[in-house]
Amino acid sequence: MNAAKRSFLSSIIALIVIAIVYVTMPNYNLKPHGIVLPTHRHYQPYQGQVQLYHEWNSPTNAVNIGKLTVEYHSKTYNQQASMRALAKAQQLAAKAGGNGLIYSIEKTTASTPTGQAELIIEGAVIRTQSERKQ
Amino acid sequence: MKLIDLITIISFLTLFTGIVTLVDMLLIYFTKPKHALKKTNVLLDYSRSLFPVFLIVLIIRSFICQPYHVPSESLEPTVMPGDFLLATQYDYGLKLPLWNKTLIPIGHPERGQIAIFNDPVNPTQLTLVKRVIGVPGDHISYINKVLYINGKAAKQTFIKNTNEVFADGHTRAVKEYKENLDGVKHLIIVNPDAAAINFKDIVVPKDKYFMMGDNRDDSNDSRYWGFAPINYFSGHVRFIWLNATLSPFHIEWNRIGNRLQLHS
Repeated sequence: MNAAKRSFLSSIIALIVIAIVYVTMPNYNLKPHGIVLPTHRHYQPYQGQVQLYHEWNSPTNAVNIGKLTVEYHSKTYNQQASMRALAKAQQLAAKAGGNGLIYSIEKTTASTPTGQAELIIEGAVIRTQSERKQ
Repeated sequence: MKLIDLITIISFLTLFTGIVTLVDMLLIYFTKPKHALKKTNVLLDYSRSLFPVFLIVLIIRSFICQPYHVPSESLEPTVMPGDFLLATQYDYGLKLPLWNKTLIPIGHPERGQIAIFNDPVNPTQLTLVKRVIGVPGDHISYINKVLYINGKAAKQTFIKNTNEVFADGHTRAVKEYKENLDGVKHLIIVNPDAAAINFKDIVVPKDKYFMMGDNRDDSNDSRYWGFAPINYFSGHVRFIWLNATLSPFHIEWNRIGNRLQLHS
């Protein structure tokens, strides 16, 4: 067997092994990440659906219980990406005991090598008066 | 999405050259006549020569130490933009390259350490360097820019008025303090014009860490994206081996060799 055949055979085997290794490497799915920074005492997690508000239609009878931030990188801006980020925001707000979230959403470009889309949700987690009485 | 970083590329190069060399040696061993096998070509020659080099680099970078470049100002005044850090790779456990599985658990991030970890928001593309503030089980509060760990204030001592230096060279007036973080003393800077974002009693979950920059009012950290999981940690920063900027080219000689020792 000459050198060309040996190198061809060994290269094919090496590439097959690398392909198998690549397939078995863990996948990292881009998910929204965030946190609620509590401003007051802790509340029990809220079991219902967290209501979303903007600054202009926010309820007046509410107490601010925390500051929320969610960051999400995705390949492109689309409705699905916004919905995922908002769902995460609602989940965090509920876990912090809020039944409402006054939020704003910013679309920007992440400082990543591939310049992915970045969604940043900032907001105030609130608990409205009616819920606090229950 | 797969994590394709320098260690991944070196791992693949090591695998390729190693397998080519091994298969060729097996072919030579099991094939006759031997005299026909003495000839090699470029691929076989380079594989034999480079395999040990790639293997040594892979072992050093995966298990011993690795350099990191810091482009941002989030850890000022301890780490400046343009610093090149050397981090040991074994402090948080020896991890199998490519699969990120811990082979030998050695230790965990400890409060006050400066750690390298994958960005929880985008682990495949960004690596972050921050200080460990909260370890699992800790209760963290931040009131009027003072940290409270498990109810105990991290005492701050004013050092001087100074300037925050941005990566593009411009500066902003800030105040420098020495902070005693539960026995670990280090410097922080605070922007007196920035509003305090207070929070009370965050509990750090199991296997997660609360990370912050020393530049308290200009750091994208756990206050924005939450907790960093233990399996994202890779290195413990030990010292600065170089500080250099390319345009204009400048080397900050007095920062080279700074061991990031805690100030007493």
